[in-house]
Amino acid sequence: MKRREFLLSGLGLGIVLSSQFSCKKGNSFQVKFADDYASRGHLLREPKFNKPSTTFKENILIIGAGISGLSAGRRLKKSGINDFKILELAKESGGNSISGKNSISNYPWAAHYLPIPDERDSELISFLKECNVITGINHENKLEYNEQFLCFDPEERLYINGHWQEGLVPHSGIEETDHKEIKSFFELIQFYKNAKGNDGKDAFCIPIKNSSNDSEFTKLDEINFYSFMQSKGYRSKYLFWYLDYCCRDDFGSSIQDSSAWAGIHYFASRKGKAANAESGDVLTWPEGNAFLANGLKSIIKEHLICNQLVYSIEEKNEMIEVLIYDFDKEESINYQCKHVILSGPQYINKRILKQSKKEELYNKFTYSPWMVANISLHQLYTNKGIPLCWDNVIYGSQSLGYVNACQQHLNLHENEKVITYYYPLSKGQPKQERELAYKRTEDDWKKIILADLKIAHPNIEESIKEIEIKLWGHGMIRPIPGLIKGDEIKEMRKPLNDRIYFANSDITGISIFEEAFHSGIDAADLCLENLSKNA
Amino acid sequence: MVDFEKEEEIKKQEINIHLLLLLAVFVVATCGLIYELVAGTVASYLLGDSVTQFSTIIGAYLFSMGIGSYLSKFFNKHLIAWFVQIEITVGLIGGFSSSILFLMFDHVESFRFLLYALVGLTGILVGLEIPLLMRILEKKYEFKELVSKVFTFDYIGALLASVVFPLFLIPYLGLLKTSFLFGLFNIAVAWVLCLKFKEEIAWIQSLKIAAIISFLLLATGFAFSERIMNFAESMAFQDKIIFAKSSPYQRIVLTKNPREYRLFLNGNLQFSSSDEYRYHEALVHPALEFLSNKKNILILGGGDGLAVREVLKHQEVEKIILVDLDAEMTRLFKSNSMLTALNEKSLSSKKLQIINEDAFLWLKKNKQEFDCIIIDFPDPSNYSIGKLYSNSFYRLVYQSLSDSGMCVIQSTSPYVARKSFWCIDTTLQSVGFNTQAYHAYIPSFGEWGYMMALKNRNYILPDSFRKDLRFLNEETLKQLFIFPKDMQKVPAEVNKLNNQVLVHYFEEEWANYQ
Repeated sequence: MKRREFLLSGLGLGIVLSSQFSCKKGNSFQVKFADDYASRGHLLREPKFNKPSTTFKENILIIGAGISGLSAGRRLKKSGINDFKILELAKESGGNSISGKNSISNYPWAAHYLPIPDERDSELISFLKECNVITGINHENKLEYNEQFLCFDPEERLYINGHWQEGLVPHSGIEETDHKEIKSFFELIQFYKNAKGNDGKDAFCIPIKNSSNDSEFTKLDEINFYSFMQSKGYRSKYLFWYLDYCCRDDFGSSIQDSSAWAGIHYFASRKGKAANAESGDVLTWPEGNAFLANGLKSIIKEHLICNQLVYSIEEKNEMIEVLIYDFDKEESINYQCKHVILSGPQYINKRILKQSKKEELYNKFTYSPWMVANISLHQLYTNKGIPLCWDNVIYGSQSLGYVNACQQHLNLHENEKVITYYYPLSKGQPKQERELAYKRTEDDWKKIILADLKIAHPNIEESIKEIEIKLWGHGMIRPIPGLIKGDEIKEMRKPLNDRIYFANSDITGISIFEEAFHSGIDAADLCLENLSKNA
Repeated sequence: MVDFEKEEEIKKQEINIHLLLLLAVFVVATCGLIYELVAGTVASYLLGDSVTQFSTIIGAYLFSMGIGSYLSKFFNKHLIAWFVQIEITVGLIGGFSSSILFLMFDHVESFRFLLYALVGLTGILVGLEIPLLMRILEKKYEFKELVSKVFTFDYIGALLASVVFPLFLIPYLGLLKTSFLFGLFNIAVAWVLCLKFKEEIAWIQSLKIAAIISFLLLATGFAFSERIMNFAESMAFQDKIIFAKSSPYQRIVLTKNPREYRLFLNGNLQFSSSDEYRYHEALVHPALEFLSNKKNILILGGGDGLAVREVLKHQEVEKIILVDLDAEMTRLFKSNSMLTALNEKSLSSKKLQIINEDAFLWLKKNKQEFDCIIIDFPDPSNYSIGKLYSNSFYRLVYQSLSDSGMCVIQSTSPYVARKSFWCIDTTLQSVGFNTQAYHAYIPSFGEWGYMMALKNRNYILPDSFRKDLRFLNEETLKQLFIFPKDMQKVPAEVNKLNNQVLVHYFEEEWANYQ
């Protein structure tokens, strides 16, 4: 109401109108890029570091403090191991699960939710207990989740045919034949959700490693999701839009670039059960998965060193020589270690491993670039339909819409909000999209974001206070046909000489929290096995 | 030949100019009446009592026109230039009149003055128009012709205005756009006259610039009238508004009629002074008369201090904490003499501590234990308020109660929103409370419901009941617990943060009712 009083105190209508005019011209707000570590990574292209002057000895070195690295560290720690370090390139741990903060709210920079996990996933369940996400077990032996973290209602809405409908599956104003196809698709999914392979395992499971290897299902990895749907006779453009949206949401790749196995996995693998939640429900926090990353970090924080760029890993007789550049001390350091867990993505490993794996293996690994923007604003008006939800998607848009970072706030009145806008650059080839993305200025991005949001919010520009932008050059591994069930990925997971281990979601094929979490545990377990052998 | 043609030409031009001036009379008359109607409508919207408003507005307007007509004799030279100038001014003032009135409505004390000042000013200017025009035309027509023509057009314009105003303008354009549109018509007349009489007007350039600027201002106003309307809503009150203020959280409006005060928050009735004692006695005393331990009381919501007033009737109470988000509410009910008369200065009690914070966040960090928690939140009409009726919130309430403690919750109408009411019951039970529902009849609200929630025991009727109340006594208390068939318990889900079923129930039930 300050504005109103201001208007009245002057009573000069000229003032009213000139201020209205200035709105029309464009509310001026800041658009800026958030911290970016790509330039640090680019130093690896032509490493020019001084010779290390210091040498440290370390039993185990974990390289990378994303979810998989932190999870590997947690596993070691819980197994009584204390002589290890975790080195991280960025100024903080978390990888794809980092977050930002301003006066309005915390907000995610990438990963921002976790579906209710499968009850059989005991590792994840016990971690969620550690961080008070699971609070207990009810009399029927079902897990009770902390309701502050279960996504608050209303959860999802889609802007379609000029208004906001409830839920993301198109239903408002579409034809009967589309309804039928959509219904039939979900029946098909129900089949895959219950299906088991000839090895007795679930056809689709999280983590992927627990899924069946029955060729009946694994052959779905050989074709793309689009062809699969076509071959099943589906034609509805609304259904195809929705599936494409889902692929871009979870993989950053389009329906044509994603394998059918991956596409079905998205729908058929979420089997969580709980006393107070359904399998489709999600856990979320204002800061997104940074909540989980911080839960992992709290266990290993005395082992974590940030601002460390690893530029060379070389096996030398008894020891592995790891050379790093310390951005804090501005010097190179030589680590002599017995075991290394490489928890960074493979395109980085390829550059830093002196005895790297075969070149052609790496070609299978492609990554989708992303742009994520956190937008602070005064008000977000809904003209028609369902009010602001947690997830808000615009039908037909290249973006994934936006998530209300303030959804889990408990307080009654909020005059300001932060929304997190997700934009996977999935249209062209990753390399070209990536190059194009890095060339765009703040103003280019601002135009792209506003043009998209104005479809559903014509006046949004007037309420914006600030836009902060982050580019993820290699945001997610793309589960292209043949990746998840192919030979390359198996080869890539294998340790080198029982002392260099690999942990990352990219060697599972899908970039989600659960995969990274388990990948870290698996690498740590292999390492622990060899430690006990040597002892 | 040439001379004849020239003469014809001049004659033609003369006729055109006469027609033009008469057209101006028509437009000017229409605009004049529209401004009058706009002022009358705004006044009856905002101040109520449309008969009084309309007749005083029309009276004041006609009288001001009389003043205008009288003043017209002081204009001796440059008649057309003056006329153009008056057109521009009347267009600006008339065009913005309704916006100014809506926007100024906050400042209630001065509102009537402003209203009549605007009506008077417009009236004077409109009153000047016709006499001036007649004098411009006086040399061009015979007197009887002139009077007949001018007044014919004048009254046709008036008829047109009075017909289109209620049938088309108000329903399709709304008040603000209508004023702006007719303001633009006045400016258009000024502009056309500027072009036609460019030789006769001395200060033509400045008039033209003034016309353009005014045109732009009015056009912008027209384009943004929705926005202006959003600044100035609140037209839906029957009674006289004696206080209106927007806090960062809500719009507080207090209205008065000879019988009562009414408090509205965001347009929703909170209480009427004529029967609020029924609501607040029923909210507070059934619980406090039952409790033997009642030293520490927490009140959530209820910034009007009326629940506090009732609580203070219990001498055993040592400390009351009132948590209400809106500091403007508690300030108002602590300082305004009319309102402190109503709450008996309860907000200034030494036993009371006022905390202006969000109830959920405050309760989450609270470490104190209370013997009774009284919850007086608005109805769960949206997702934000729905959180304050969730099982997560009630768990915090549970933790903040002493072992023998209890809470009582205003729970909307069990008659209108039966499922919503019983949903609150189910939700309280789901976190371990023993509950007891009851209801009271509040004439301004209808049947109203409350829910008591106890730890470890059931509610029983107190052995004796205080006798100093206006609504409740031992006999009437018993009646509160009897639920007629059409309000008895129905099954409902537990209201949670991640399903917000209560908001869905509530929306459905009240939508059906209205």
